[in-house]
Amino acid sequence: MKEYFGLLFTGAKSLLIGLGVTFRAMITPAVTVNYPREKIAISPQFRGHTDLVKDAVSGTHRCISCLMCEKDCPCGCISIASETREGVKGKVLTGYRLDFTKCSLCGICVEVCPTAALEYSQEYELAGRTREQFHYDLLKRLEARG
Amino acid sequence: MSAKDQLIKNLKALQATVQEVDYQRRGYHVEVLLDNDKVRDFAQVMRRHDFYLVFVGGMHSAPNIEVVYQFASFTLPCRIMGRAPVNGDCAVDTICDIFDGANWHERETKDMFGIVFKGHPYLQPLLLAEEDADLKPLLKSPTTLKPIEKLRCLPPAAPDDASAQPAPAAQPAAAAAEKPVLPALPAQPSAAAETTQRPAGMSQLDQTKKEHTFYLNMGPQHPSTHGVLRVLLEMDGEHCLENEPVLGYGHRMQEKMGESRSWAAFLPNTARMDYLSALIYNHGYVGLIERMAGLEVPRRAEFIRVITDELNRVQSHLLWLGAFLLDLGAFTPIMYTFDDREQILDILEELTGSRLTYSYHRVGGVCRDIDGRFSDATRAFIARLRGRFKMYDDLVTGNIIFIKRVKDVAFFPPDLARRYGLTGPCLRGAGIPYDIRRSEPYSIYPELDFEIPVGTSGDCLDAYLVRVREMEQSLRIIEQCLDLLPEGPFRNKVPRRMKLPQGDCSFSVESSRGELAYHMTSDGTDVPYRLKIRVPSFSNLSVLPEVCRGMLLSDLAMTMGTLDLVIPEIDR
Amino acid sequence: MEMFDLLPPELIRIVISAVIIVAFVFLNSMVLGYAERKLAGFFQLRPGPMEVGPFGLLQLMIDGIKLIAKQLIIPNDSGKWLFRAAPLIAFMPVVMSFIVIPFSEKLQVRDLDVGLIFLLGIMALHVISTLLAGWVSNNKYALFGAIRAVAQNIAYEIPMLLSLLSVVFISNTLSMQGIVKAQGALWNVFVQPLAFIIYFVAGLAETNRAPFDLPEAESELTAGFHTEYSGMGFSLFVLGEYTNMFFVCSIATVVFLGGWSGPPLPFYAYSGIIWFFLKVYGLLFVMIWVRWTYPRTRFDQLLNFCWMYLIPFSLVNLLLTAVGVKLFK
Repeated sequence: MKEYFGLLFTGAKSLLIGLGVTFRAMITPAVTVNYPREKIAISPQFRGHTDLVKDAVSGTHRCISCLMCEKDCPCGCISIASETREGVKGKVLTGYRLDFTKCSLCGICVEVCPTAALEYSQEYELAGRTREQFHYDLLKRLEARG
Repeated sequence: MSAKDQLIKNLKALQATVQEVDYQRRGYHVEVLLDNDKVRDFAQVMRRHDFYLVFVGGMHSAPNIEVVYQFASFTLPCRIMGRAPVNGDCAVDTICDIFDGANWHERETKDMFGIVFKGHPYLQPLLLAEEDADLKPLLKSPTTLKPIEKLRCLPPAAPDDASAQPAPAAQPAAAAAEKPVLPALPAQPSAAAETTQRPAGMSQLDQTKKEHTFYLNMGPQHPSTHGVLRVLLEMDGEHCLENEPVLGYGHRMQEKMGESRSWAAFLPNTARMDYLSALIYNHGYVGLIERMAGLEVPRRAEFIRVITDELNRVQSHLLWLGAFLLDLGAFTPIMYTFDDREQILDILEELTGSRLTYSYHRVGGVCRDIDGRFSDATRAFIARLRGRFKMYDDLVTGNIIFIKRVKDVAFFPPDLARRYGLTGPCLRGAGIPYDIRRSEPYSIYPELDFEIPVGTSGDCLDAYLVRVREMEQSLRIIEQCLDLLPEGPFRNKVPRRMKLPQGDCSFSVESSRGELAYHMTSDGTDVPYRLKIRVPSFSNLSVLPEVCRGMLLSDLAMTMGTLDLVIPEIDR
Repeated sequence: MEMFDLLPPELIRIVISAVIIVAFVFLNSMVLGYAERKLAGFFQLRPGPMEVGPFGLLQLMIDGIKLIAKQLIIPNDSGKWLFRAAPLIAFMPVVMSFIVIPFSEKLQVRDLDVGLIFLLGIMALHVISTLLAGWVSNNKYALFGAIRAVAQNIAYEIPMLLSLLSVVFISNTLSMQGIVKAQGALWNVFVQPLAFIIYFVAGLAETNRAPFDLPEAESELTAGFHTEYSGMGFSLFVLGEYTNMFFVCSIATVVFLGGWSGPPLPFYAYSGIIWFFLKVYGLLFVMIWVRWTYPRTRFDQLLNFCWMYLIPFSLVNLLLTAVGVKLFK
């Protein structure tokens, strides 16, 4: 009998305390951000897809077409096209194709590059209608950046 | 005579080759090489000594496929590996009446290798689809098959010391001199092997279905199975008389991928298996490689690894808390826990660049150093979360409706845990203080001061309380690491194409769900020969048929929430 | 027959008020649905609907248009006509119940002498629609929801009836307007607090609201008894549920909180409706508040609570009320 009433009173008290918690939450301001009207600033450390680094000195990329990133990529999403040109030492990069639909963002390509030619971008608003939209050509992207 | 000596004596009585090995190099204490017909006796010895089943796996090598067993103990710091070759019919005795957890492990091994377990009550595909039952994906092709001598661990002393070699391997020098003759792949299992051949689509429950019951399918798409899991229920009104989880909807052959790419390239895969404890999975994998190759990790990197692991554990428990209450019908606590979880995700995003599937740990250290901003943000987060625990107690833990739902519902007694290999907070709720961080410590856990919260009765309320208290203990660990963090390098350079020494190695870590064990066999190249991943949710889910027999449907959904399952890691 | 004795003005009045009632029901669902989603957002530290219209005010209207435009999917193996009829049975009786509710002193469609019994009878019809919808859908999950709903609703009608009877003892009349007038300034909630609490809890269970929302338990049963319904069928169930909530709270207001009575306002005979709405929406706020705070009870615990706690207490309350009325009147 005592258990019966004891349970009733402790139960009712716990229910009222719970109501108090949600009431307090109701008068606290919202913690969400009204995306896409407002956006949160993305940290520069965010790991988006890779981009070619624009070297400050030479004004262009630092890739020497050694193909280390292509060989070490576990997903096989990098394919590099390069050619030898007269009068230029080593290979010249003509196309750096990144198939982002396969990339797992492991960062091996960035770490393995001998000239530190790759960096992460901060793009996160990626939505498209076709797969081809995510076959990036990083060289063209670098040239478009100016 | 100590318990361990008694155990070794009993094992030697099985006429098997019993060898104590170097734990620092191999990750286990005793290796037992059995004959094909001694498997059941071996399992009996393990059961009598109160060991629990870690996993049953396989490995394909010449001349025979091997069945691999690993056992460990809640009380004795002793990990046992057993190996037994299959016989001419590609068969071996089952141990699933001794250790019930072996039921699922053996089904999976049959899927992958085609090994027939004689006497198994229901040897149907577990992870593969029924039409792929003969696919046997993990069998090696004649070009990739290696002889067993190439896969055994070489002793650290001079290689021509023949007495240190375990039988039945031949001399390694002799084996290297001549090209090994690789035998043909094992034949199809003969009709003499006892299997229950059932047509595709029928389930194990058909064997025991009663007249008045009906089947209800908690299908792959369901709000409360946390992932693509199908649970077939035999219902009598509201009571689930029997239930059978059906797996394999998310199977991605992670173990096959572990064999087809170099050890360095497999790291992102580890994060995808259990995405909520991704850093802990990373840690287990890089720890395995480091143990195998005998590599040193700088102290600063060890501290950073522990800090990020524990942050990951807190984040996983916060998500579990919200999702568990969502299963029970409370829609608000998940929002509060996700609010806290966002803080962790932001902190880890600043550090690693990712929010969920991290590839942050590297062999030899971590890939980026932490700075003062990280420490400040983490300390602020710890202070904030400590203040929120009272709110969760008010809203959830004290709530009479919640307590009545969760108390005295599904019990996980210690003997059940031993038979199935149940580990993690559900085991600790039953009163057994078994945590890999304490019993087989790795990284710098021996130097840290933290408690292992245990429950008393093993019901779902105890598992809940254990997880909540574990969050507080993780915060304690993080604070200690931040205080003790030494200066120094954060990464030792390791050659990318480093060849792993030949042999096998095991590494266990405590993930948020229980014991995660990696077991790798290497043939001396940089591509692993066999990578076995033992995930905690696999063993945790296998207790569901026994624990939830006769329960109400609401209680079954609640028990699945208590077990904290992540289906992608079960299906790998 | 009495109907033909009615003067045309009376008939016109009834027709107009019926139209207003139907319009009000839809409007109420819009407001209540918006309030629920907005409040749910506030309890969960987020803003709720914000996109459609300023502060999301037009959200429910657009949702209604969307639901009307959706395709009605009727499963092949279900009973075709019963499947279509079930949402109507959920919706129509509750609308009819507004006939006897006194919105203010002069604003009532028809004051029946047995108003309270009429309302309790209407409430019982709601179960039929739930059972029918779950059964005829040919879906095991829906059947589960339906069966749970039947047991739950039938069990919780008893404490509801008993607590209302206690009030009837005091006010000595079953007509709704009579109960309001008999309270005067001393509302029944001060005289019969236990009955009020019991009635409110039983009302939560009658409307299948959390923590008693097993018939539509999302996490176990996908969507319970209305799993197979889409488009207008589903929206009729939702309308029925919100109207039922309003209906239960308005009975509570009339019987316990003094209905339309309050501090006097100009045109008080008609403007009592403002106090009425304030009280009803206050109770609805509490209903929404309770829903977003508590987890769900288990089925046997729900019935246990009814039979072991609510019914004994309401019986004792009834007995004490009877004794008290005999002694003090």
